[in-house]
Amino acid sequence: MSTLIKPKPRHRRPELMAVLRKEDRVKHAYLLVMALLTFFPFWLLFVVSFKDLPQFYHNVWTLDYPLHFENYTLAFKVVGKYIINSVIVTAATIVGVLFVSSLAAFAFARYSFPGSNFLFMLIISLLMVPSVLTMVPAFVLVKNLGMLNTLWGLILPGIAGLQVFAIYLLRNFMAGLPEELFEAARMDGAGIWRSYWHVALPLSRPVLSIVVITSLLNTWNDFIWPLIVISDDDLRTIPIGLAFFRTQYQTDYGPLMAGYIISLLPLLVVFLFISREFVRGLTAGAIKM
Amino acid sequence: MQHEGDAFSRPVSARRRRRRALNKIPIYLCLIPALIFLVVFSYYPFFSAFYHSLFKWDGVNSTFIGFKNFVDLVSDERLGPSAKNIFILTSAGVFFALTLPLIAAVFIHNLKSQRMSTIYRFVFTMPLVIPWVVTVLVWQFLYDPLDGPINRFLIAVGYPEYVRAWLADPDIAIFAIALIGGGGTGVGFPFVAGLNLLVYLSGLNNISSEVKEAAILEGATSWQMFRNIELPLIRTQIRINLVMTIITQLQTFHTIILLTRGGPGYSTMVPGMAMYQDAFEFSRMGYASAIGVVLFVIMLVITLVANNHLRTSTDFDPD
Repeated sequence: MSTLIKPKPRHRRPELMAVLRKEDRVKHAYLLVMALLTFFPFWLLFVVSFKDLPQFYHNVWTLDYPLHFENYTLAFKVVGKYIINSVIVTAATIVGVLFVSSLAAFAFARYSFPGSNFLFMLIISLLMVPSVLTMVPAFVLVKNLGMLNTLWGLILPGIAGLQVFAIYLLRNFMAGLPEELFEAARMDGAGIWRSYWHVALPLSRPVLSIVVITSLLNTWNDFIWPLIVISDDDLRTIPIGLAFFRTQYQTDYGPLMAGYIISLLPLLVVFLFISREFVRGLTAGAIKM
Repeated sequence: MQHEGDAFSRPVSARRRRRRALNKIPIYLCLIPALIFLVVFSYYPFFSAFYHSLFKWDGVNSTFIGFKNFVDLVSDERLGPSAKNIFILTSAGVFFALTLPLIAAVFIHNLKSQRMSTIYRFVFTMPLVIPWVVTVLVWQFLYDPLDGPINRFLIAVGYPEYVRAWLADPDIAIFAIALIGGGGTGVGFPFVAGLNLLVYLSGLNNISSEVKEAAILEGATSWQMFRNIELPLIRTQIRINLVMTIITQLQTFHTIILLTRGGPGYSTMVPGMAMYQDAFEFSRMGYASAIGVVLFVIMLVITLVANNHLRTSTDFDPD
């Protein structure tokens, strides 16, 4: 750091500020170019979703009038049921993960009992196990359990996969809650269940929201697992439904792109409303606190 | 916890002790749902993978064959192309993860307008909620040999000689895929990967403002600031992104199964794709398990090596 320490006369500071401001222009230029590169493909997606084929072959770059909204009605007839399946699977998985992991995390965080360290290590070690390793045996297991081609085959393994990180996160948070609150609850005669439900859960809301967001994104986007478990078109979730939709509509680009747009809307809307929580949840998910 | 003299440290009567033992039962009840999921859907498949990697297994019948699956791996004709492609994808991923999002993070962090940095952060995080399948399928459309905007653009601006069947040309396909990456989940497009960006930004935000203010007062240029303060202090985040990228890229085949399924020929084959083929197209589940075991061991080694340089052992997700 010694290279930095070059004393400069004070009167040169305004000059430095001016330089910094000029550099902000470079920053803005870079960030804007990157943003354009990011959104240009989605712009084309948006534009084409309103075109019929002659318009598409004439011009892909900008909107043409009239806009063909019927692409959307056509696409929704196919994509709509995939969205419903995705909503069911995602909601059930999130509820399951929240319940299972918060309960276990509560026990690990607030009580000492024989085997607690061992059991916790057993859970945490799974963070090191990649899904490629367990995919094939898990498929055979789900098949043997008769859950192939059912939404249960997505929900239950989903809960199992997501609870690991959730327990880790929640236990760390719950262990840091002040003991006085639990002591007070105990004084009032609250047992384990009531201190879980009325003290631990409400106080853990910030971390629970992180669990919800990471579970939401993972379940909503999951592709390989639903691909091998689900073969019935009526049970397809959005990602595999879209891949199938693609083979159906081949070169009928308007409805195809309209279907893509429809399927990215639900999460986008959620994001627009709670982007702050999303950013926090995603950061925590990436660096595991 | 610093509360002394609570119920647990005081001498207690036999009756109270028995009551406390009974009190443990609800604690174990709390763990039961988690443990059932853990054993059935996590640990059983985990051990089953190792066990069945020693078997000829179609999912129903299994015959013990020792290490034959692992020996066969060496002479698998998909091994060469897989190794080459995974190297290309991982190098491209590491390049993307360590450059463009890092620059973007430093720029966003140092913008004078707080409002603008919030806006940029929002803009670059947004693609994370777009299902990656949509992103990949949009790129499939961009790459389309006849109707795709890329080729149409090349023709429109007078360079028809550069028109390619981007995903069907064995010399180009793997690079076309490396550019897309995981479609928002992995690295590649969007080039400022939202997740990497957030990790870098969290590191930059942790740098104490006093250090930076001191440097500014000393007249440090932006470059000196980056080189001597920011870069060394976000080393942890750089490692996180590096390891996360390598681990992700080693097992990635999402994009490939959607676009090329390893073809044409084996020109876009990767280990994950080979495993999928063996398990679900050829019913060679034992062999597929062996591929999984090898990938797991490679990832474990990388993780453990990286952990020697990281503070905690669970800083990143091997998934």
